[in-house]
Amino acid sequence: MIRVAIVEDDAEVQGVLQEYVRRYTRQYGTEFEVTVFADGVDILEDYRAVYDIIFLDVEMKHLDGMTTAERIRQMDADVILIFITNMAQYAIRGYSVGALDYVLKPVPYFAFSQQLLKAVARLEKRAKHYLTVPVEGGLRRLDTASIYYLESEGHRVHFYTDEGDFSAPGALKAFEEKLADCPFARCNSGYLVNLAQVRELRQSTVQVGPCELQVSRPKRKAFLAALTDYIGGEGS
Amino acid sequence: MTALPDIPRLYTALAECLAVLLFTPALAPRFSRAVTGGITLLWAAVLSAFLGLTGNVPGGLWIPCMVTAIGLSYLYLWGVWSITLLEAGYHCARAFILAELAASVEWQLHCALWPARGPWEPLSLLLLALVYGALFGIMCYLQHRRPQPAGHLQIGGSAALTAVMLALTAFAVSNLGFLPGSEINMSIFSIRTLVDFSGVLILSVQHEQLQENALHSELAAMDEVLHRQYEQYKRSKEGINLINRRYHELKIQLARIREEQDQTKQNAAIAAMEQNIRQYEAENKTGNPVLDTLLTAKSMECQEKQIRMTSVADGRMLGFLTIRELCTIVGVALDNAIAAVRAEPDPEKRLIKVAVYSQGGFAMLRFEHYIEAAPALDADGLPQQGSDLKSVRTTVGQHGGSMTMHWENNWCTLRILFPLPKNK
Repeated sequence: MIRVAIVEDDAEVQGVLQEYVRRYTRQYGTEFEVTVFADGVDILEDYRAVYDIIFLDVEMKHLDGMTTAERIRQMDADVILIFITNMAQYAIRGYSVGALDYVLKPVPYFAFSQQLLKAVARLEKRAKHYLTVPVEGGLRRLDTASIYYLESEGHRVHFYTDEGDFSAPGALKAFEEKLADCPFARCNSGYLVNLAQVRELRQSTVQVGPCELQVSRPKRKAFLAALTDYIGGEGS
Repeated sequence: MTALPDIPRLYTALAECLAVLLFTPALAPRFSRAVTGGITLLWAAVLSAFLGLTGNVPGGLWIPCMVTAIGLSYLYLWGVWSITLLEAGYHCARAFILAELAASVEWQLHCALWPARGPWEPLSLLLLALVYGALFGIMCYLQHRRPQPAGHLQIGGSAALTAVMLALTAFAVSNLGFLPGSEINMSIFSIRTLVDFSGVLILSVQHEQLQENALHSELAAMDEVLHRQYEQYKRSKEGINLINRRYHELKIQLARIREEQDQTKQNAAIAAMEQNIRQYEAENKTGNPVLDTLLTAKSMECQEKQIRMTSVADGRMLGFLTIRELCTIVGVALDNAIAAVRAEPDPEKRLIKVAVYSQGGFAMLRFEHYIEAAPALDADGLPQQGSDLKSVRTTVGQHGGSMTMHWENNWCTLRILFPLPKNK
């Protein structure tokens, strides 16, 4: 069940959007729980971070969509915000609240469903991934997001994470396969880097969390392409 | 002087393999790495075995044997690497003459130093390694010394024909001395080496020339794209300035109307109009004036063509790109998307989304468009017709960035990443 909020002052558009969500459920089978608000003030009143996706009308009487979005962002960093507007360009303000997508009024079902499809896919991707690593005296369960990078050394692999470093037996290739669903790529044959931790790229090195790693010439192209796809993934 | 032995066939086979492999790294394989490697090994083994086994055939069969050996290399080149038959002929001719030269030089040195020594003694093998190593090393260096044109070097019919004819002539002349009846001595070896050397020289010069031409036309094509997008940008900038002025005049007029009229209804209408104008002013600002113009112009074009284009853009960090570069990147990317969605008959499905933002030390420009059929991509990951995107990739590459294109779930996404230069 995905929780959706619709913040829209026009009763007619409210109805249309609710119908679109139902149509989407019929088409794709995804179940939603929809809550409707008539103004930005209403959703902010006693706001709790329970929604997965919020559709926000940009022009509303009391509190406009942008300001509402900014307030929501302060309390809820994760919710996906999608604006509904009649302006074709949303420059910097949309970006600053982490909303890289919006639908144009009058809202056609097709554009709406594509937007929702993308948001649902993003929600699914967001689930945490864990990696089980054999260490001395048992197994260690590691949140993959906390890893900076993996380094291969002989028959062991060193883990550098924001919870400290340790090493485990095994081949880098085996861990690479286990991490296939996560954004990891090799910047040279010995390092497997978490792309989410890449801060900066220089001539021949890359800044991963607090570490600076060498990028080898043969791996550079593929590494950059993987980084491009990761950063340009769903944005925000 | 006693007759000198001719080159051991396995020496020739090794030279042939090395020469062909010298040229293959510039080509795109048809199959996966493992398959390519496997076929390459198989080809080398078959060629060596064939040449080794046919070493003692009588004179009349010598020519057919050589033709078969060349044919094997030719088939290998064409079958494993994605080149045309003509191009395979060209590369095969180059490799063949180079191999002839290498084998000839090596054997001449061998015969001059130790005519009595067998070819498989350690010292002979050391000489083989040294001579082949030096010769192919130099060729390798010469090949990579100059900038290579991006992608595939196309070889036309005349270039291929010239190369093949040259190789055949060089081969024929260099082997004239080996006709039955003539005595084989050092001078015949020298002639063979010299003729092969001139063959390699001429073919290398021709190759340089071809590469030069390719680089030149690549540059010209890029310049053209740059120029076209820049011209378009200048034109739309004028148009948009005009519109901005009009909006300003409109605002003044509205203010006047309001002073005179007093009805509440009219006031409300006027207020709404004014609100729209204010929004127009505010929303077209991305922090980069060039990007503003480009996005506004393209979204107007989209409106005309019944395409829904939406964009969220923060262009403040794009100052490191020149106007021309930004025009090329954004202009070409959007032209590509517009051309693709125009083919969609249902206007509701003509969707384009643009996002420009920075994350960490990177700038990202993302262009997405809806398209139900997956576009055919070439070996470089670019659409086959989208030659303009090639100049975008080159521009992006000049700033150490990267560009990727993917199609998934009916959406085609072009992503461009730039590492942001340090201001400090």
